[in-house]
Amino acid sequence: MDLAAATFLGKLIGAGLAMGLGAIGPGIGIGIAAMGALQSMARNPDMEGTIVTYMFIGIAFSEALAIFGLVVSLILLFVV
Amino acid sequence: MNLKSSLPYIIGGLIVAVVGALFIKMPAPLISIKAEPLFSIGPLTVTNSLFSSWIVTVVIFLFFFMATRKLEYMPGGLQNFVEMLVEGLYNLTEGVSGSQWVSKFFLVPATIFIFVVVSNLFGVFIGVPLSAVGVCESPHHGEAAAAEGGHEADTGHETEAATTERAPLGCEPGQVLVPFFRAPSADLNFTFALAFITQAMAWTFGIMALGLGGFMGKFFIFDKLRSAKGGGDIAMGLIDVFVGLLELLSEFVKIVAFSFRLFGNIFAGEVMLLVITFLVPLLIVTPLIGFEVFVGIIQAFVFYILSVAFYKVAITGHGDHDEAH
Repeated sequence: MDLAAATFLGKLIGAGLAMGLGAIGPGIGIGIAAMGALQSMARNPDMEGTIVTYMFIGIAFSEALAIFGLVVSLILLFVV
Repeated sequence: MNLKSSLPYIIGGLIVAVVGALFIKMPAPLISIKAEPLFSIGPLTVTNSLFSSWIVTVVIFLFFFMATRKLEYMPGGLQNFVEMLVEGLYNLTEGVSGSQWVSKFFLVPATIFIFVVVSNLFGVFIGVPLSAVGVCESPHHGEAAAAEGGHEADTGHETEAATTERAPLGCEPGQVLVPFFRAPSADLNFTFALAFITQAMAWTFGIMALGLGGFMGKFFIFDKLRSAKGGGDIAMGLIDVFVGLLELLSEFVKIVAFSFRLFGNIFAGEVMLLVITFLVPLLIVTPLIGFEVFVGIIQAFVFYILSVAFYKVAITGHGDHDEAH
């Protein structure tokens, strides 16, 4: 295998790994955030508006990690 | 609707999808991670994202001008909608920030929210469907503007080799299609500018609320180290110093996170729509367009609510976390 083919293969594998592994943690985190929000909404339905707002803040924080992985894999695929 | 009566629709949809996948050959999607230059005014290069953001600005201006042209005491129609939107945002801001700061916190994040929502919807409804409408440009032109001096020949040659395979849609070989429209938020420059403005305002609010010394005191925490007596106190003080420096670092990481979050979501959505359209040309992409509309609105909302939450954190001084709650 020559160097160009090896580089291309490395890019593809790296992009896949960056997105795939990078989505595991945020997936778990978003699930936990939604679980907590649903439980607290079930206990106290009056607080629904506030809880949804803060749930989105929490989801945005953990989703940012997946987005970092996505940006890394897009850069690997289209730029480097 | 039960299964029996909905069966023809399901079968029809499947047939349309299969026929589309078999007989309609889509050209390979043109994916560029950076906005492509359309034309230039003097030394300024106008990219397609910048051009689209001008259109979005004009659309927002016209919409709000129409809505507030004839103000009535009992609002109806457009005025009612705009009042509902602004009032909802104002109340949400007040819920996060408290009534003392709401008039200062409200203005810029709400403006950014409206701008980003319209930008994202522009990308879904105009940017992606019309992504094949554009001008053919030879890559030499764009690269020559971007490259400096001696690298020109190298990069020009390289991009020509790379882009010959993505020259579909009636362009000459060696030329590349530059679409007229691209969602403004699918350009990292746009989102970075918004993120930097947001974070600079957070610092400004922090200095306004706490004074320059108080604001810096959140990041350079030496008081426990200074009054330390003995080894345990010194260790605790060092930990405090380290935490403060981490806090300082995170102020700059927030800019990166803000800009990458919006850019990544919107750009990935566009890439997904294009790739799904390429794989299965008909019908499958329709629910995903709905999903992208949802994502666009949610991401604009997240940008808004995070900036307000960071303003709230910025005006809260070091050590008075307890009285804030």
